[in-house]
Amino acid sequence: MKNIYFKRYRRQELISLIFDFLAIIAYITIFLMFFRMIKLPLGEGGNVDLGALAYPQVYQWTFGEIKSETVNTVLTLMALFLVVAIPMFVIGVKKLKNGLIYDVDLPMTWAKFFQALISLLLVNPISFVIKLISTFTLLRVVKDYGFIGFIKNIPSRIKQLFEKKPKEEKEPEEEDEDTIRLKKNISRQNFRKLSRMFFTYMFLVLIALFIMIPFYWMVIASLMTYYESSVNPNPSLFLLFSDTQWINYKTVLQELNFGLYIKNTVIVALVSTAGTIITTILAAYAFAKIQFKGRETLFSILIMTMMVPGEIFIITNFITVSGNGFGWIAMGTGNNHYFLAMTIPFMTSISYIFFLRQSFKQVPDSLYRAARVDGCSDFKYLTRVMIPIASPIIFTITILNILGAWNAFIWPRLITSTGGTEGQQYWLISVALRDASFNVPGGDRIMYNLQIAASALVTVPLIIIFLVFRKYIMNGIGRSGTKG
Amino acid sequence: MEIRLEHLTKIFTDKSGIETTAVNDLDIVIESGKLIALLGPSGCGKSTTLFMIAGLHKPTEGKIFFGDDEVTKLAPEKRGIGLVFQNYALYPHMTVRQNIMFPLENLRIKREDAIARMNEMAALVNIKELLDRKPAQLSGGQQQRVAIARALVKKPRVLLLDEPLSNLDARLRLQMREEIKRIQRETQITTIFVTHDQEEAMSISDQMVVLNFGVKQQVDAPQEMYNNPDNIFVAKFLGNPPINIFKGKVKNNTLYAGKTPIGPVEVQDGQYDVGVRPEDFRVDDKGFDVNITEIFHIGRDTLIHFDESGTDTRALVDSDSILPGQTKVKLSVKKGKIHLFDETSGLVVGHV
Amino acid sequence: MSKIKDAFWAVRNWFKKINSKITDFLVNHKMGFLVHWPDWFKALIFLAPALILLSIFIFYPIVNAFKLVIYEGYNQTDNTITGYTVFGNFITVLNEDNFLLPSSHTQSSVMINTLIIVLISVPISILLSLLIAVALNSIKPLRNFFQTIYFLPYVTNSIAIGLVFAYMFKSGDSGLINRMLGWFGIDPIAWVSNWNNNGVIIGPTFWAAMSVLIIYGVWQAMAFKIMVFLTSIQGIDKQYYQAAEIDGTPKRRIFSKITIPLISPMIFYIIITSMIGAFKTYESVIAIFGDSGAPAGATYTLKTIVFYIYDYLNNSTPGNLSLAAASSIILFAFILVLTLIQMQISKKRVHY
Repeated sequence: MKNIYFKRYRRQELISLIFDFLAIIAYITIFLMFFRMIKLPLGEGGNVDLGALAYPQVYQWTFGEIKSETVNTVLTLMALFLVVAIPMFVIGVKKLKNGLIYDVDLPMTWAKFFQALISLLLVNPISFVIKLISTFTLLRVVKDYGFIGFIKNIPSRIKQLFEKKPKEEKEPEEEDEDTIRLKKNISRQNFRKLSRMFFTYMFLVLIALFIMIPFYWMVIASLMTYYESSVNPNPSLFLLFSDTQWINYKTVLQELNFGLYIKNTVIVALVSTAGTIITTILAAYAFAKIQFKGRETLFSILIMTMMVPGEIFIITNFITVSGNGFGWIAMGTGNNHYFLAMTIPFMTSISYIFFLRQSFKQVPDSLYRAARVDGCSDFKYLTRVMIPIASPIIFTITILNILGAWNAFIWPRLITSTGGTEGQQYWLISVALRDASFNVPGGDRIMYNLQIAASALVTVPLIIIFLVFRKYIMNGIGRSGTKG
Repeated sequence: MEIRLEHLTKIFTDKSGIETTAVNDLDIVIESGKLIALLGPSGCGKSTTLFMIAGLHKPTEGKIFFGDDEVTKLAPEKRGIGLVFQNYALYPHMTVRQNIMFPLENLRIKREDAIARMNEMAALVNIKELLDRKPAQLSGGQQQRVAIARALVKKPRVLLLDEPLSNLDARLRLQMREEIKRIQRETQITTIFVTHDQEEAMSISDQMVVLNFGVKQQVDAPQEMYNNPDNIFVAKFLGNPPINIFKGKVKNNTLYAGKTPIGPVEVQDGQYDVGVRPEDFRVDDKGFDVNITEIFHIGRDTLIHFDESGTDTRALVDSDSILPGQTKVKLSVKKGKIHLFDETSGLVVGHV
Repeated sequence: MSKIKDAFWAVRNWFKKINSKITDFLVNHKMGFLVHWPDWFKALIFLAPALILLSIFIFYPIVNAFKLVIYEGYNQTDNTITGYTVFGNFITVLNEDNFLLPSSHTQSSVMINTLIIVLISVPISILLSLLIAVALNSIKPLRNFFQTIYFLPYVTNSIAIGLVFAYMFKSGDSGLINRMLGWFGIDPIAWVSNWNNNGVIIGPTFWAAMSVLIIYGVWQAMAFKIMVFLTSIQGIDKQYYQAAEIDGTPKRRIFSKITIPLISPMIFYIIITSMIGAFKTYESVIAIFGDSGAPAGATYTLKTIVFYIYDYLNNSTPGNLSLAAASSIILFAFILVLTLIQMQISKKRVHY
């Protein structure tokens, strides 16, 4: 009987998730629409007047004029909605995939109810209604009564609240010394436990604040005006929705060219990761499964080179990619292949080979022999058996490598700095963060709001990737023990 | 497909140069279409022999023939064999269906034929309902049947099984060994399986090959080998409870146990190892006296212990012929069931 | 769907056909060796992509660094050198103005800076991480939540968050940190930039600036350590704790006598790897202070060894590449010593 309701619950869940997804798409669309509306103020001569960013402006859209404050409020609202809706959606999907009837209990019913309320706050009435219905379906699974039963129960529950419990006749107990001591001990123990819990949580909360403050300040400062962030001796710690300056992000993306830099970084990340995956899989397979003379020796040599600091490699590699070597960066003359110099040296990584080899080794040899008996070649075994079995690890390596490319600084800076202004076109985002000028035009005071907005632009995708792929990342780092 | 092993030898050399002879000069002919057991204690070279027949190990010396073809240098996939590993070696990320179809991808047959074959095999081993499950969702017995199906789907000339039943629990073992016998009978493929369990080998095989330290001990049908062991090792290896061995003397063509003459025997005088199986004793009024040291009633049979020439001897008799608490009984031995073995070589020399 | 699979099969069969035709042809013409590849050849093909890249960008540079170090006056643009010297470059680096000892116009040297960072930030981050890991281990609800938050710094961009830290520690009333200090009645401090206090320019002291570096370093470094320590602590068999609880051991002693010894191998490994990481501090300095390595107009420098290396690298004066190579080899020496210490002690001292 319960199973029927559980199946119904899952169906309702699926429908509500679909609507959640549609809502998320709606939020994103609205966000992009309003973001496009923002126009950078032009000064004399047609150039962007960075100094005028702070002043409220008026934009045109299909329904007439709209104030920049309204635009900002809508954008912030959408951003907050997305921050709440997307995790809820992801968790909902995971629960739907793995949900078992045994996990259902009363707290889960309450949780469902709160989800319904949140949907209402997110201006998603359809989802709210469906979630409410599914709450009661869940109630039926847990407690065998549904909405109607719930309503019927209310009067009796209220009565219970106001009834006084009849005092039970307690037999006068002889409380001797031992009992008293025992009771005191237990209460002391409980007190100690509670206070320990309290202090532990306090400590953890303090540390969490220590970790989170930079992030919070980053988000707030990125949405401040120039005055607020750089000049005001008393910048506020909170911002009204209407005061959030989303124009900062537009400025950073367009005027300060960060859109281009992000594109460069994505290209480098994808190319170098693709190369790394291919070389690593092939090499790890050779080290794990193919018996050849000197295998262990060669592998030990590779492990030993992991000890060498990267700075030693960079010096020679710089020479190698410049005029005397491959000529990718020719230091002054034209025809520079910056992307080649930034990707090819990083198309392989010893620590990933080590990591993947360990996973490959865990596949039992008998599988290989069975495949050999069936006439399977080494390459086919690799692609049809090993890679699917090790796919989580390979996925982890992909993510870690992309993260590494996103955060790359030293080498890209070295490479692009040789090219002067031409090199600037090939900046990766970390380099741009450090080297781009955020100064007030014509002055040397830094426009912190823009600089921090650029930092946020760099950091937020990382956080999103982390939250989505957290398991893979933490697993991979734990096992490989390095940053790759 | 008859299999012939000629002077097959395998010597392993480890990193420090120490050599181990796993298989020593094996000469065996395995009849076509039969279920053969490679039997022996751990480390006797049976798995090594199996892998050499499969082609996964290269013999140090000797030749292997499948029928008239010499396959000694041939790669495993060219020999036309099916191999079932001890731990089944099923691909964990593929369904049962995909596991069974995998070998067919390396043959050149049409996809419809491949699917037809797979279904045929699935029906043969009784796993039709499990085709869409992954190996982790199957029990041990089911996994093994999938492994057998995968090995047979290529229509191999020879089916090899490496300790197929050792990973199963006792009841499943009984069931699966009968399954293996049935499958072999239906397909008529020459099948060789490796085991260390003599009861298992005896119950289903048509022919047994017993090995010890890489040396062939005897090749015979199970019951033949049981009744007429070629040497003391085979005699001791087969049979549960194991055979009783005591020292005996032959003088003037008569075997004596201590001072008592047992019977006439056509061997030279001297000391011999004498073997009598526990079940070959009979309670006989005309037999010799025996002081019972222990009695174990096991349902249909009763196991009694007594001392004979200093050796603790077991006898397995009908429960009806022994009363609990009995201390003396008269026993005799069935005709021809006393085996004499040479003390040094262990070879059988005669029977009484 | 199955049409696609049929197509795949057909293609595969076609490949196999061509493959076997070629193989047969080659074998028949005594070129069989082309087909039956020996293991080392196969390995070579699989390893080739990785090995080629590694040789050019890893192995060769190591060798070349030692070559560069003995060049004198290496000019990159026309690839010429003016001479050879064995230790000359090392001596130049060590004698360099700011390298080992503070020069006359700076309060601190590169070496001292690096050592301060290593000897202060490493113990702090390890102790904190240990405490946090123990605290996390003792709570059940919200553990995942806290773990996620604590791990955030690991995936962030060094430069980006460095800029945020520089902004947080902005000198004067407006920096976030100074405002928070103001709640406790502390006057604003100049941290990383100059503060124009009504016409009086106050520059940050050395220790104020260094503190920001250290705090940032600790903030970044805790994430990895917390995860490693937490995993180790969770790996301790619960029975040890249960036995201690029965004996009434107070929590403090459980921590020092059971928890710490049992994770001591991991603690030691973390100590060494953090020290090595701290030696390589560079991105945080450049993020907060820029290329000059110090606040504007400061009389000291906050540069580290690696900073120094890149200073040489960015400067194309002839001979600078050799100096960069020399300083990087010195860095390598430090790391090597630390690693050897770890390998030695991990063999002897740590509890298992």
